[in-house]
Amino acid sequence: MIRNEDILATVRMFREEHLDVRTVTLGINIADCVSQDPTEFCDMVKLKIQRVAGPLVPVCDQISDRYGIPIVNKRIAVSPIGSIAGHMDSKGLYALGRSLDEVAKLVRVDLLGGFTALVHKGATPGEERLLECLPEVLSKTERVCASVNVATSKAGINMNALLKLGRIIKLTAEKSADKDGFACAKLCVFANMPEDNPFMAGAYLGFGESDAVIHVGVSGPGVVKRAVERLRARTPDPDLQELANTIKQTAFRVSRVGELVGREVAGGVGAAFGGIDLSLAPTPKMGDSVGEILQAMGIAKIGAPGSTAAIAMLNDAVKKGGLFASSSVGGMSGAFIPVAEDRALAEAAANGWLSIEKLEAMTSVCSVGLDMVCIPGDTDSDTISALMADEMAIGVINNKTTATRLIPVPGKKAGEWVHWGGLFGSSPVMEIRATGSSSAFVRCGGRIPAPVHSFKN
Amino acid sequence: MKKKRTHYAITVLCEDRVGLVARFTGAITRLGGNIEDLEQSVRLGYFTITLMATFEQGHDAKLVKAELEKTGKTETLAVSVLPRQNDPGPPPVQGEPFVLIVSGRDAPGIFTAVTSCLAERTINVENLICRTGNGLFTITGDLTVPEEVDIKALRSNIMEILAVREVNVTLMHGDIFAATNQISMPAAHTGGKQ
Repeated sequence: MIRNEDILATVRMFREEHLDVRTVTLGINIADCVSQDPTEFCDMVKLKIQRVAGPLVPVCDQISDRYGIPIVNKRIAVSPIGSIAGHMDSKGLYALGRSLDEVAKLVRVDLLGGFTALVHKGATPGEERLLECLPEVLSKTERVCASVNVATSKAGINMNALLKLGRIIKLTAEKSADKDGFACAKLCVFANMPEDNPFMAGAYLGFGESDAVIHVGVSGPGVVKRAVERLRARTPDPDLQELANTIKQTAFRVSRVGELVGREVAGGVGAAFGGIDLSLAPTPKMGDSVGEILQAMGIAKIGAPGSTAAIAMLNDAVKKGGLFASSSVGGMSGAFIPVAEDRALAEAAANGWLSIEKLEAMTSVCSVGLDMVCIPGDTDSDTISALMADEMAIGVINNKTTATRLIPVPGKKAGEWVHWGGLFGSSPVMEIRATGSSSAFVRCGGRIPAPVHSFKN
Repeated sequence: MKKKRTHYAITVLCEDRVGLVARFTGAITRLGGNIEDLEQSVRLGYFTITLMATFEQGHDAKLVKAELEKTGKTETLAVSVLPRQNDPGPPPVQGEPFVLIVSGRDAPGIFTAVTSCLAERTINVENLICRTGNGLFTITGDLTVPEEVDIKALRSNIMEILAVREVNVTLMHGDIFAATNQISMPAAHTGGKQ
C-alpha cells in the first residue's frame, strides 16, 4: 500500500512543480512511400501519416484525461528526408515540405521533424539540395523541423557541410526576419545525432526503428528544483552525495511517469514503445528551469565558476535515476540548457554572467549544446560555422551528442532582446567575441578526422 | 456435537494507551481465535483496531465482545463484533483504481459532498483518510471506479460541487502512484509477458 505522504508528494509534482509529459513523439517510417513521381510521393506520405498518426492526438487526450497527467505536445518524426528523397529536385522538396506541414496540421500535432540530412562523412546530391532548400522550407512552413548531422565520433566532422550551414542559417534567419529569425529555431545541427530523440527540432526516425514507434520526453526541472530546495531547507549545507541522491530519486519518479504514458500511448495507437528520453527540458515558465536548479544547488549566478561542475552532477544524477526507472532509455537524456527557453539562463546571459564560452563548457558535460542561442544578426557565416565546429568537436571527442540551434537575429545586436513567447521564450542576443577571425580555418573545408579512441573494432 | 466455526468482523475504539494491541489480540488468542486481517491506527488520541477473526470453537458474538470489553478496562471502550461470511464474495464494484485528493480550508460538509458524488456513480471508496490541522484539511481516498464512468466529467463534477469552497481537487489513476513510488512498474504497464 502506498503511504499517504507518497501520494501527496506525487500530486505535488503535478500540481505545483510543473511535471508533465513534454512530448509524445510518434516516429513513422515513410521510406515505403517513395515514388519517382514527386506528386505521388507527397500524396503517399500524407496518406500514411494520416493513417498512422490520425489517432495520436485523440489517444493522448484520452490518456491524459484518464490518468490525470498533462501531455503538452504531440509530435511526429519521419524517416530522414535527405536519405529517402535523393531523386527529388528542389521543387519536389519544397512540395514535400508543404505536404508535411499540411498533414501535421491535419492530424493536429504541433511539430513534425525529419527534414533531415545525415552528412557526417559526406553529402549526396539529394542531401546537398535538401540543405539548400532549408531556408525556404523552414521559413514558409509552420510545423516542419529540420536537422543535419554533420559529425560523428566515428567519422569526424564534415567541415564542408558546416561551412555551407553557416551560410544557410544566415539565409534562414533573413527569410524569417519579420519573426526575429524564428525559422532557425526549427533547425538543429548535430554531432552523434540520436535516432530516437523525441524532442524537436532534432527528432527524426532512425533506420533501425520500427515502422511506427513512440518516444516520450518528460519534463521535470520544477520537480527537481523543489526537491533540492526541500533538502536544503532541512539541511542547509547538504553533502553533495546527498544532493545527488535526492536528484536521482526525483528523476526516478519523473521518468516513471514517462514510461507509463509512453506504453499506454503506444498501445493506443498501435505502435511500438521505443523508450523515454530522460532529459530535463525547461520551459520559460517560472519554476520550470534548469537554471533555477543550479541556483537551488548553490550557484547564485549561472555561469559563475562551479556552474560546469554543478550541471555535470545534475546530468549524471538524472541519468542514474532515470535509467533505473525505465525499461528503455534513449534520445539525448541529459539536462538541456536552451537559453531562450529557460528564463534563468536568459537572465544570466542578459546580466553578463553566462557567456557563449561558458555555455559551451557546460555542454561538454550535459545536453545538448548551444541551444536556442541568439547571436547578432551581422555575425558572418564563417564565424557561425566555426562556432558550430567547436560544439561538434566537443561531441565527437567526448563520444556524446552535441548540437547547435543558433539564431542570428536580423538587425539585432548583442544585448538586445528577442521575444518569441510560448515554449520558445525570450532571450538576449549574446555576444560572440573575436568574430571574423576563424575564416582561414573553416574555409579549409574537408573533414576533421575521427579521434583515435573511436577506432574500437 | 462439535460447534460450527464462527467468523467475526471486530472493531474496538477507545482512548489510546500503551499495550492495547497486545491486550486485544491476546484476548482473541485466549478464546482460540485466529486473526486473518488487522488494521490499527491512532487518530487524535483515539485507538482504533479492526480485525477479522475465526473461532474454531464456534464462540458466539456475545462471548467475544464480553472478553474484549473485560480486556479493555476502560469506560470509553466501544466494541463491535459482527458475524461475517468466511468467503468475502465478489467486490461490490469492478473497476479501475483511482486516488482522490481533496485539500484546502476546512469547512463542514466537504466530506459528505464528495462521497455523495462518488456514491451516485457507484464508485466504491476502498480507503479514505482525512487529516486536519491549522484550519486546513486533506482527504486522500482510494477508489474503485467502474469502467463506464467518465473520469474527466467526474473530475469536473467534483470541482463544480466544491467550487465555492477554497479547495483543490485531484483525481488520478492509481497506477501513477504505484509507478512513481514503487520499485516495480504496475503489471499492466510492464509490456512483458503476463
